[in-house]
Amino acid sequence: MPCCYEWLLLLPKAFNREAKRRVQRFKDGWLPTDGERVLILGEDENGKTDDLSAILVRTGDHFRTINGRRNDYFKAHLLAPRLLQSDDDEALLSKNHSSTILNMQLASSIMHPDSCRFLTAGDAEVAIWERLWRRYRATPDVLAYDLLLAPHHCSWHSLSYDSWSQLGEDANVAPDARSALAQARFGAMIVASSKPIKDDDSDPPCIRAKREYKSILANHSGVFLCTGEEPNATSPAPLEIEVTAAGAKRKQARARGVAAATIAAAPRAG
Amino acid sequence: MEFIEWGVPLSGGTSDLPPESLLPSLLRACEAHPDIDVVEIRGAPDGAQWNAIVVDVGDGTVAPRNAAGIHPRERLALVHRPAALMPFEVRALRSDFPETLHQNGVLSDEPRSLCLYDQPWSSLERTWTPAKFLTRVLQWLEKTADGSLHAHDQALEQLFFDSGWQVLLPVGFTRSLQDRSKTLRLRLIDESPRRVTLAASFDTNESTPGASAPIQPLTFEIPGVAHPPIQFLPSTLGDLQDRFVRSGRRPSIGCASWRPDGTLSAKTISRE
Repeated sequence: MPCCYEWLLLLPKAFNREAKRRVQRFKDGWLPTDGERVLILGEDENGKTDDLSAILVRTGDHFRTINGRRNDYFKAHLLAPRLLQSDDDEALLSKNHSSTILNMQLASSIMHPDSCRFLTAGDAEVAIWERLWRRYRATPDVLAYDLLLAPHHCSWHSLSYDSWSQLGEDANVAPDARSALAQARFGAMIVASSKPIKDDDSDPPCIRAKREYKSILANHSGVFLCTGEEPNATSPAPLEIEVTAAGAKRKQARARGVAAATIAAAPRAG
Repeated sequence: MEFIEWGVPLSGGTSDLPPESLLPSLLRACEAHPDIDVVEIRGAPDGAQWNAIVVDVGDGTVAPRNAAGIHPRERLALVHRPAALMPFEVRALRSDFPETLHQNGVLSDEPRSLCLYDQPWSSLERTWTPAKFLTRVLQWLEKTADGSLHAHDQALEQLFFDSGWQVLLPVGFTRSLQDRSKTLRLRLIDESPRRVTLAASFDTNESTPGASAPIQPLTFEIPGVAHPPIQFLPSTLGDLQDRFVRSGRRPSIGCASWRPDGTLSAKTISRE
């Protein structure tokens, strides 16, 4: 997967142009058809979305449409971006404060509507998580997850204001941000969408962030995975997560070369 | 989460591992494995019988709420007993690790033991490697969790652990039991350190040379059971009765009957 910086360079212009075109089609009264639909996540700070309520999901709202149709297997809670509050430190929130944070509830069947909570947060940094914790600390289930995409490619800056490369082990975790990211349900998975995580001063991905996520998971029997290391660091392949009635799980075991082939021939326990 | 403190930590850590054994190479394989975290090295209290690498294991293939009760991440002891018939063994250290298919018999106060292979060590030894062993452990957890560990064409697990005693019954055993003129006797036909084999036969008159005194068998017939994990042999008839009661099964017994309160009324059976 390309690093976000590549996406920033290559995609936003085309993406923004297409989104604006679709919004304009909506304003012009065109019916939303395939290839024309658009959903705006989070209201604009300057009121630009005031007349777009039909295609607007306000922060804090739930929605359960996919491609314009209601889907009973899907329900999403939009947690961010939030409009700036008067007590917010605008300097802190200016960077990446517009990252979209969604907690999606995925059903394996109609009988199991809450099979998996998938929390995804873009590049949201530490101040955003602190603010989320202040808002939801009395109702932490809002932030609970079975699957968390580690923010900003497993960046240390989602957990701390300190620089990992400069302070190393002296860098401090921001407790409220950690609490917001620590609402793992039993057996949760945290996935770093990043290149292999090395034990060095890189960030992102950051080895200290990985250690912090693993410490969060330790109390919940959870598992940490990195897409750049799946199935191995030399030839990574897509990591597939399957939502079953028993919860989310990796669809296929890590390939193990000759050992896997040998064992596949005789998979018998005694 | 509570874990069983099995054995004692080795004071010297990895340096206490016998260098000539396969354990140091297994430790290196654990440390290099992305789904395994080494916790500590432990050994038998007397220091001589076994050493173990304690690890946390989980590769994401175990769904959290699986019916078997396996956790996505389990703490295991990878045990090496050089003198055992199967020198490598895996113990589950979570105190409430579930009873499942394909476990070895252990003492009541010991951690459960995962049964990884259906072959003896003499067959496995030439191809055994630490990496394949770890793969096998992960596979046991994954497949036990999703209920697919027992192969479709694999023989069902036996009801009880092997006691080492084997009795060969004659043809028409049940029918012959009804014939009061016949006497059941046992005769030793084979004996080895791990197994004693007896042959049963019905004699009409005098006992044949080498046969035992007359035997009065007590037979139980119970409804079919699905495919439960292997059980320890009951040590008393009362223990056997308790198991029947717990499982909700009422057996028909050859020379006894059940009272309404669920106890056995046969003269030959008592809890004492």
